[in-house]
Amino acid sequence: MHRRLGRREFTLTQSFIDIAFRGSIYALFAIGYALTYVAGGTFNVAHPVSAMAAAAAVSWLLARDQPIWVAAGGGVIAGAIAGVIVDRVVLWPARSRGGGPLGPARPLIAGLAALAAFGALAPETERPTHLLHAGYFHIGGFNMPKLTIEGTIASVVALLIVVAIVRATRYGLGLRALGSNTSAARAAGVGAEPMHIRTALLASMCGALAAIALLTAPDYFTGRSTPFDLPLAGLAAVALGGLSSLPASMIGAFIVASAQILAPTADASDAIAAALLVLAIALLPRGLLAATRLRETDRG
Amino acid sequence: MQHSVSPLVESLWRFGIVGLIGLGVWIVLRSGRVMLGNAAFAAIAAAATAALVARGTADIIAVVAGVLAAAACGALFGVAAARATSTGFAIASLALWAVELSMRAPAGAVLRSQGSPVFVVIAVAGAGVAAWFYARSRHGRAAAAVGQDERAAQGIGIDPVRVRVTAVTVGALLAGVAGSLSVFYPGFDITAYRLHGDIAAFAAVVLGGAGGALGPLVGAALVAIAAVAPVTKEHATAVNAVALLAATIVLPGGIASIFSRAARR
Amino acid sequence: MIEIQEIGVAFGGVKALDKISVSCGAGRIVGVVGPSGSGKSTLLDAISGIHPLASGSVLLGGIRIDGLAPHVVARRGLARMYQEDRLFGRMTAFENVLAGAYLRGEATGALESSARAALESVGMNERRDTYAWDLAAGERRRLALARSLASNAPALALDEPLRCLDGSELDLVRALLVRVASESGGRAIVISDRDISACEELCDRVLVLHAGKAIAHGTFDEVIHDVDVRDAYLGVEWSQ
Repeated sequence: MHRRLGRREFTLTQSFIDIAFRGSIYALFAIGYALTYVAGGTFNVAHPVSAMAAAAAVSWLLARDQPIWVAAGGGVIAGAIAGVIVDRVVLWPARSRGGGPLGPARPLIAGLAALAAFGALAPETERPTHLLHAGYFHIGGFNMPKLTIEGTIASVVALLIVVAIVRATRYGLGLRALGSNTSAARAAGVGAEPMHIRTALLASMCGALAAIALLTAPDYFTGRSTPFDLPLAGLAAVALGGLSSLPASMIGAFIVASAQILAPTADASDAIAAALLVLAIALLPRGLLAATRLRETDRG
Repeated sequence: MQHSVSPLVESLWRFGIVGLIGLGVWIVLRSGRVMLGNAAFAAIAAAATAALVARGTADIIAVVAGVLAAAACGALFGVAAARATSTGFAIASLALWAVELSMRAPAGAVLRSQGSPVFVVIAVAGAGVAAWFYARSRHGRAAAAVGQDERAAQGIGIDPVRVRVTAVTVGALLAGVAGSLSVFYPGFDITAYRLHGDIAAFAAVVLGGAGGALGPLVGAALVAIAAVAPVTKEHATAVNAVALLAATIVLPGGIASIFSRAARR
Repeated sequence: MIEIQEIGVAFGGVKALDKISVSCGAGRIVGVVGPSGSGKSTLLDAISGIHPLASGSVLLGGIRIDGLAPHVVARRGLARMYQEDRLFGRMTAFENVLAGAYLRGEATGALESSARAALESVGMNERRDTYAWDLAAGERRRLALARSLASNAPALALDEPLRCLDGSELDLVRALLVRVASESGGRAIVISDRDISACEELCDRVLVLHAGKAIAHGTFDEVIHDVDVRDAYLGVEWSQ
């Protein structure tokens, strides 16, 4: 269910590739958190649902002898659908009804409930072990699994696409406007709910792709453990980034990955992510690159 | 772990454990913050108590040590996160899942699994009464003021950081009582705190009603009654999660709000 | 009692307040007036510890309070009323005033008695069990004032205490402020308002702000005849 390699042998090349692989996946996952926070000003605790849905779909398709690219496509679609359903069925009703003793905590609690419900009911994911022997690249004297390299490249490309979408499209302009001043953005014609749906779609596709890339990693396995380990790393990354800065979240992701890879034991990965998360919240409340934040954090 | 106890005893245990963790969540919620990992403090206390009991330490000393360990961890977390925004605090509290995730059944522990639920029920009833009086005290009003408007609370001399550190510490202490006593629960399983404990606690708070101290206890009773159904841990969590989700969206004031609405009419 | 000495507040590169000086002794009421954006609330926020000072100092009873956290400033004796009410919505009117008396540390009976008196003073006793979020605008304003008064602080910084009040409420609150300023050995009260006429019978001295700068300071009569005030703020109506 949740297996990690024990003590690793370190070389510079191996560590560098591991950091690039894990960091790009964490960055992709963390960006999903940041995007939904920018759009709505509320934190989506249920973001891992898209990753779990994607992992389950990929596992199901691979078990039926579908090629990896079909399985990956199916996983992204499943993750996207799950993310949009969570946004419409869980977050939107919780967001739109304020007041009461729960006040602004409602989306957080609703997200937690959705995550737990999905985590408890999601089918156990089969590890696609046969894929790990799909071929190797010879790099720096090491045989690196082809899928690891391909996963890294796919993650980096996806990151670049997301950054381009946020910076250079009409949707991105609307998103940044919503993050800067929600009322002014609405007055200027930016529809908040359509933006939330589009953002949920984009964010959940990021989460799904991250989970699919992680599924093929030699020392990872996503399944029911997904409510914990990938989110912990993603949360630490986004906390280092100050919740709503895409570049700082990416840097944060690589910091988390570096700390985990360079640690003497892989068993401490969750503890490292958790420690970085708490330290970031306590010591860097505005994040690493405060000037790049797309939304000010709540003042309450 | 195999165990067979009557449904009533099982329900009383669940009521006590979920009620105490839920009261802890409620106290933090009242100060304006969402603690998504309060069950981690129960797990810490359970691990400490189980380890001490396995070494032959007297039960009472093991329980007190477990509770103190949980409260100390809570205070440390409170100091680190009390200055964070509400979203930052909630995210930081998710780091406590790493603690829940790391919990393994204590190796070599010989647990007395025939404990009576009487102590945990007394503990939760006492905590409920204390919380009811606390909510009406000067410090209780100060915590509510911070939870409702931090800036206004500061304007009348209340230190929000101190209020929140205290709330998190007390919340962890209550969870610690639940965790330490749960070691003597016939179905003790320390891994059950992993997310399941948090969901059950939140279900208790939201279903019962977060507006008052008795709400979490009413909610805990509902969760405890539902828990005797012969289902797996995962399915029980799913039921609690769906109930929590429905209540959060449809009935955010919990059952208490139905009674208060009826009383207004 | 309150001495504000050449304080400056900056938000990034923007000077929100520039070298503002004013003092308010015990038993006195000082009015800070100016149009929206002139810096009235920023001035009250600065002396309450909410905004850090870029320059200058604030003294309360001869002791510096600038640089202290807002709750510490309150403990030193400066109670605050905010422009946006900032009531505790899920508390009743009575509980709001009890919370305002947090610093008094008296026995419950004495606290409740003081809270009842504070509610009575703003004419809100019959609404004591109403939740704050169910109150009308004028009632909310009066409750916010009662909460500030319940602290018994020797100095008060009240941001637009007369806003949203109708005729009888205005008379009640004006009379109350005059009485509060003179009772208990005298309290220092700084109030802000957009309308200078609010200060006519209420304030001993008036400070007029414009774009973060003090353009006039003196008695009401001195200020309304000031050329700069007429040009920048009052316009034709007051110059006749």
